[in-house]
Amino acid sequence: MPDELSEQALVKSMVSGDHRAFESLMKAYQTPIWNHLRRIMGNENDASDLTQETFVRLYVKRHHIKPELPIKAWIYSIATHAAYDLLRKKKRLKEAFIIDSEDEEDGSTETNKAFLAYSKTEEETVGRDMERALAKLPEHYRNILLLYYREGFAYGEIADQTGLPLNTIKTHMRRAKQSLVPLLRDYFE
Amino acid sequence: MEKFLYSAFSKIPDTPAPNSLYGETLRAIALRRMSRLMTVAAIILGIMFLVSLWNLYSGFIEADTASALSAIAIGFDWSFDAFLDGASQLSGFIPTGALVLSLLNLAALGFVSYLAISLGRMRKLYSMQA
Repeated sequence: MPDELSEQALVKSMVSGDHRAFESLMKAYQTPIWNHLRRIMGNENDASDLTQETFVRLYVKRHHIKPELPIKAWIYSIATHAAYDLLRKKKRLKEAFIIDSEDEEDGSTETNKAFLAYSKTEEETVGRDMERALAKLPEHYRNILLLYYREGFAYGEIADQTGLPLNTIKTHMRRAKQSLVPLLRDYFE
Repeated sequence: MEKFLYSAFSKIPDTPAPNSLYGETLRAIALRRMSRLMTVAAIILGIMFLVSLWNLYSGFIEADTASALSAIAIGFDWSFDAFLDGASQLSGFIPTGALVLSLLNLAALGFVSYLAISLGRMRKLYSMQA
């Protein structure tokens, strides 16, 4: 990921029409956005479609971006809207993803291979348990928890990205954490 | 709890995005740019075609082509010589330049529309494959 100063310079160039600056930003954010969307949507195909849609929308709107504001918030905002648009289309709720059941943990499905590649250190176990727990939450709760705890956005920024009022985000965050705790009870005992 | 959540979320593993995604995204952007340009080109050509049709119609009115056709039709006899004679007389009343221009505009419009539709289909195909 480019540092803040060089990122601002890239954004300024992109807004002025420099296509290479846009490609550099795309290279930097493609994988984090893809993983974020994979966690929200629950499958890699949707994540790929939405990542493509995110960067196409970013390209189309690039002249409206204010270079002094962080580009990360813009990109995640576009990705979130694209994901919510697709979810509204598909009307899917609470779909388990990545590992469909405990029986598939040693299976050989494409989505499980990423996990099989990891060795079982305690840190990786915590991460996998958290991802499994997130999979059981509704997409919206998943999204705001990831935006807050993993991507480091503030409540106000999450409100801007989702288009919801700040108090609603705070309420949803409280409910999301309440839903998450029982799924990770081993860590809280 | 907050400390645990921050720590646990940071440990969620990432997987590498598909290798083809970068190229496919750039292709989707290029197709979008081209299909917009094609649409603008098709609109301009459509306007040109309508103007050339109007020009052709004006030419027909000025040359009084309808009267010429009626005059040729009177006493027309279905023979090869009559056809040749009628065609030669009519050619003087048809604004040939305007007609050719209209046909060329129509061909250009058809071609650009075909390109725009093909690009639109390619965009859909690439977004399905992603």
